[in-house]
Amino acid sequence: MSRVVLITGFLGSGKTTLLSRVLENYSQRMRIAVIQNEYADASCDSVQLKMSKWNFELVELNKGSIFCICLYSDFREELVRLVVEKSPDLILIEASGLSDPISVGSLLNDSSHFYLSHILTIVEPSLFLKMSGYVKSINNQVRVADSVVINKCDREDSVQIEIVKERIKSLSPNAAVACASFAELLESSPFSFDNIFLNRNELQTLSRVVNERSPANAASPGTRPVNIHSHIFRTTKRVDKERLHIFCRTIPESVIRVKGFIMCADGCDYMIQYVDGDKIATLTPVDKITKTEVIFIGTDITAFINLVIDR
Amino acid sequence: MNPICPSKLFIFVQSVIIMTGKELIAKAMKLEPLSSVPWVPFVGVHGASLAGVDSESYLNSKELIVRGVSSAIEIYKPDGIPVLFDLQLEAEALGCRVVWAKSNPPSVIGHPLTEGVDITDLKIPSKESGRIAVALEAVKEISELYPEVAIYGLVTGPFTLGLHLLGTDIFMQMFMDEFYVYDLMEFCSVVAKKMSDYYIEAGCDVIAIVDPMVSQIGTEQFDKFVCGYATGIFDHIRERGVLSSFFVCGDAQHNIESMCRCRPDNISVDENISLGYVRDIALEQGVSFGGNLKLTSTLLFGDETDCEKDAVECMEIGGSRGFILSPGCDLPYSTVVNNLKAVSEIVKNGYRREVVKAIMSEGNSELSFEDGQDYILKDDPDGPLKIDVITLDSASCAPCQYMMSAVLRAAEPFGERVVVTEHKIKERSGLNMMKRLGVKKIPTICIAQDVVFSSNIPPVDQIYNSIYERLKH
Repeated sequence: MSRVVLITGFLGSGKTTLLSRVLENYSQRMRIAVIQNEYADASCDSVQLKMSKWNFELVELNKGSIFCICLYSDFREELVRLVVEKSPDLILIEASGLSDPISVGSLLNDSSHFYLSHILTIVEPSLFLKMSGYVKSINNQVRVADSVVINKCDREDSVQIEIVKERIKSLSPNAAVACASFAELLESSPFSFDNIFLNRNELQTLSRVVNERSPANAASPGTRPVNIHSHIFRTTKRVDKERLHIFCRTIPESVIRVKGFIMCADGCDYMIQYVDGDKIATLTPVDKITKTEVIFIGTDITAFINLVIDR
Repeated sequence: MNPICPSKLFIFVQSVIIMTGKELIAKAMKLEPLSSVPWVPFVGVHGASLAGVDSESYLNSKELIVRGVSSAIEIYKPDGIPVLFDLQLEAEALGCRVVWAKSNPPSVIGHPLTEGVDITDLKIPSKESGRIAVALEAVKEISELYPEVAIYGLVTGPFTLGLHLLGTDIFMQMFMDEFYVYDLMEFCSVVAKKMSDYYIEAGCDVIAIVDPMVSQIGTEQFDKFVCGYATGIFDHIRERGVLSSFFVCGDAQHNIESMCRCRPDNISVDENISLGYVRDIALEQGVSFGGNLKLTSTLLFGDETDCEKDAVECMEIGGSRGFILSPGCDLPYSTVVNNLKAVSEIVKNGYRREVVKAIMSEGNSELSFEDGQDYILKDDPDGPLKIDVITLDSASCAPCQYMMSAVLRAAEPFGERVVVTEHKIKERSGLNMMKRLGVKKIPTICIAQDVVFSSNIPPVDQIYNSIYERLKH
């Protein structure tokens, strides 16, 4: 079972620099695979990574991913092959600058080989302020992010950075936001890359969940997680409010994390947030959204989703 | 033999012969009431899979395209079909560098306008440029082979072509130099009109302007940079006397109203947009609409049941006026053939549709433990042999009626030693029984809880023998 961290960001925001930073810090401590899927000159970014001295497996997917999820038909197959052949601890997917992270994440659904652990979005402040009104994917990438890194902060004044932070918070109130320069987090950062790439919190939770079920198979930080899945539930249908409330109150222990947006039948829309240890999932009203998109991470989630929400 | 009335059969066959797929699609696009929903599978590189070759070989060979599309027509029985779904065709002819993949269309990796080429240097592609001749030859042959099927010619939309030519700099230029973007859009719209002409002359019945990248821009930008040019293209196609469609994939819900204002005859969307939303907006503006079978979660990764339900759901939402059932975008190379066959069956077979609708109906999806217990408790080994016939409803469904009638005739000689019960899946109890007995197809005969005859109606003597064998033990 490999963990997947999805790295998104518009072109020029610093995704490849961030990848290099991650490889520099972690490639000696775990087996890392990188999947690049960039809508740009095919060779440009991968050449930059190939020239680095770090030890990792690189898979390039220059397959016209800009248009539609339909073009990802062999993406999942290639991921499975990668896990079977190379057994990476961590797979970093550098998504195309114009791609929809939820579409990419949904291709990881219910696999016994990998799961979506984290979505990290990197933004370049001036580009973000100029383009987010024009290019929808820039907003989408921030909206679904677990963490947002504002890169190139050394080039912007603090007022601009605050405006960017406010915009990010309005799009994604629960995302952790940090400033960086050359994709290196500043000291003031509320999180560290260790949280994301070593995944300490999630592994501790997983260890407890698995331990309770089967002590012999318990995972602990530093070991490869077993039996964990991610599932992105997506629908344009509206969800029954009563069922949603039941869902929020009855999330089983096997579910580690729930986050996303839900469109209700009564016309109200909500952001849903749950992390292991919460008593119930919280719902926060949000502005009009066009579809329900919820990310689940846990050990036994599909039946639960089908039973409670997908009716 | 099934007792089907010959006169009814004649009327049925006659009505099928009268309405060709091409006519059905024309009626749908003109918002005329429909007797059945038209079905258009967007077979692009999936045709390569049907032809048993990779995408590159396929998209470079007229013979292979004809073979792939012909297979799709024979297997999926569509009312309309595109000959190609390749949004890199024009871009490649205009000098964009592309990279090929085995099971995807090619991808543009080099953008001439960022590599020193000026817009004024670009030349409108001729019928011989790049792979255009291959595409046109394939259209000619397919339209001659299948005159009853509406042949779609797919043209890259002006904004997507602009993105191919300029790369993502187009977004920055919309902000920095809007007149440059206008010039680019003007050029791309002229290319789209020319390509439409080529396809119309080759025999296409519908021209679809495929512009997925408009899902990336806001309504204000769509109205400013796309609307006028797209409207010009649809007006041009209309003047040529051919029907048109505006395809988008991705979450373009915010632009649907503006897309309708460009005056296409039809708009087509994928699963990212609520079909009900599109229906309401499109019909209000007098435009037909299509979509939005789920490309990956059902057609690629799902099973036949998932696909049947998806199709029924789309058809229920789409209704009988102005709706064309289709996937939202290019079918993936490895789309499961049986899944698409299941969709085709749902479209063409009203009875099958009713069965799936009954299974999906509200409140019929749960099997309670108590229901199962009741049944087991009542199953007395010394009691009469139980025959359970799972039907849609024998009062309204002809095959179910024939099956019930056959079972009753076969059981009659055994008197009280056999009890026949009909379970209608239109009712909750019937559906529960269907699930409990593991029945997959309707109608089905179960004897002593075993599925014995499923879907096809056996001769009475066969049912009689099955009952006799069980009673002997």
